[in-house]
Amino acid sequence: MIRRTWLQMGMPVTVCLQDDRAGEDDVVAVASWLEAVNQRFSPYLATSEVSRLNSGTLGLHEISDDLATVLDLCEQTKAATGGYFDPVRHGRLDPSGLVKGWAIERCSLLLAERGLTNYVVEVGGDVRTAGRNGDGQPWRVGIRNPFQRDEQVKVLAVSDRGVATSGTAVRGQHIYDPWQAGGLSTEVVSLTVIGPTIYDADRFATAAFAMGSAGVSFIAAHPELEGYAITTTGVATMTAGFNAYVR
Amino acid sequence: MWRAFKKALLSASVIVLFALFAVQQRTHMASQPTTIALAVPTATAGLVVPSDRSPPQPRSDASSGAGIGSAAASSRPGFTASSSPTHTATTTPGTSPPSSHSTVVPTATTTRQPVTSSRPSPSSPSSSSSSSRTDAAASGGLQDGTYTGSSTDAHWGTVQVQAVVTNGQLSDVTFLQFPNHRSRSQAINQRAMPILVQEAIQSQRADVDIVTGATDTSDAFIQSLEAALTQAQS
Repeated sequence: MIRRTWLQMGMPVTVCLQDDRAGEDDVVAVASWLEAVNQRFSPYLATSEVSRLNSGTLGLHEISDDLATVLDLCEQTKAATGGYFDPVRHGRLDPSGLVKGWAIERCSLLLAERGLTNYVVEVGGDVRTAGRNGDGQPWRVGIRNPFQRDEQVKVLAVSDRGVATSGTAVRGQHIYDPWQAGGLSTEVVSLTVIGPTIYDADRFATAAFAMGSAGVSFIAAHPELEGYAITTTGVATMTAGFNAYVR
Repeated sequence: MWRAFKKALLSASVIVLFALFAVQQRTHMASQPTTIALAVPTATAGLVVPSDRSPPQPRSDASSGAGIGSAAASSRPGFTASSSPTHTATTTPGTSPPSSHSTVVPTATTTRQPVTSSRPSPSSPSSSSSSSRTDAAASGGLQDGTYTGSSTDAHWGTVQVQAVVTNGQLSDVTFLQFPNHRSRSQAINQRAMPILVQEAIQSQRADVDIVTGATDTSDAFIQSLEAALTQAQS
């Protein structure tokens, strides 16, 4: 298996290519695509289309097909999540919450077009799997323990699915909430969503996390999504079909 | 005869619960609810009260990952309250915070601290419901789990109530509300009553191919990293 990890878009990227026919050129193809995404969509690059659109140097009529597609998807997602996903943040257009999952899904399609059927693409904790690992089993995806980053709270067997996790950076401190019985906040610190694509898993994880403790109910109501939410007190809530993925 | 009385009691307690949280939601900006005027909703509470059925069975044996959310509703009523309405009516205002988006879980089966125990194999997530089934039957007839009532229209918007049962007792009721009920009706099948299962997390260093987790980077970090890389390239 070819396994490579590098830093891109400010995040760790890992690619595992299990097929015998896989080669370094497939890795390069993924990295090239992600670089193109970064150049077009990064809100941190003044030269990106998103930044130029925000600054007014680029008109809506001049945007690329990819950006137009992403803006469409943002509107659809905003409607599907009751506004909990919103591409406008701090008065500026920032579709990053959707671009990430969309871009990783495009990585998967790219590899499939190149003839691969067994691989994993992971960008910043969002995972897209296809086929099986070297043991002939669905890829083993661990859910990071938000309180102990070198450990996992769950192992999932995932084949041809997307797995995304939204959450806050927990530094091992308990959050005090004076309105909670016992004083400890029971806010959700990590919400993992399994979906048919990483595009779906990512956008709905983003929106559902913003909903707080109601988010996992939102995930449960969608027949194609499963979720696992962890609160500051170490209590997890999962949807009914989540257990089917657990090993 | 007893069943009819029990049904009436359940209806009363459910309406009380619904009304309590309906009013609490309206005054959610206040620090603590003080006097509570019982506003009876115009429609029925929307929480299906079982007639002569047995208590709902939480799903612990999901056979497939997709497409089962709505299928679960057909054989199960939406919600049952314990047989003691005073118990349920008095615990919730005292334990629930003003914000409707949090869940207080009793200490019996959960931990207050994040759990970091090392075990050779991952835990079974359905243990919270299957192992306490006999306890539930003995204590109050409620099966452990989290139950979400079907949505109902109150005069200020669409509301939905979520109940958590732990150790056979009603441990919390959360008032769910969505900001745009029209979008929510697109997103949620109103006939579905999703079941949630709770557990304490268990941690280990597992043998995995890849890990999913929230990125441990703030916006500021990304920005400075990008700037540094840009400088490094020039």
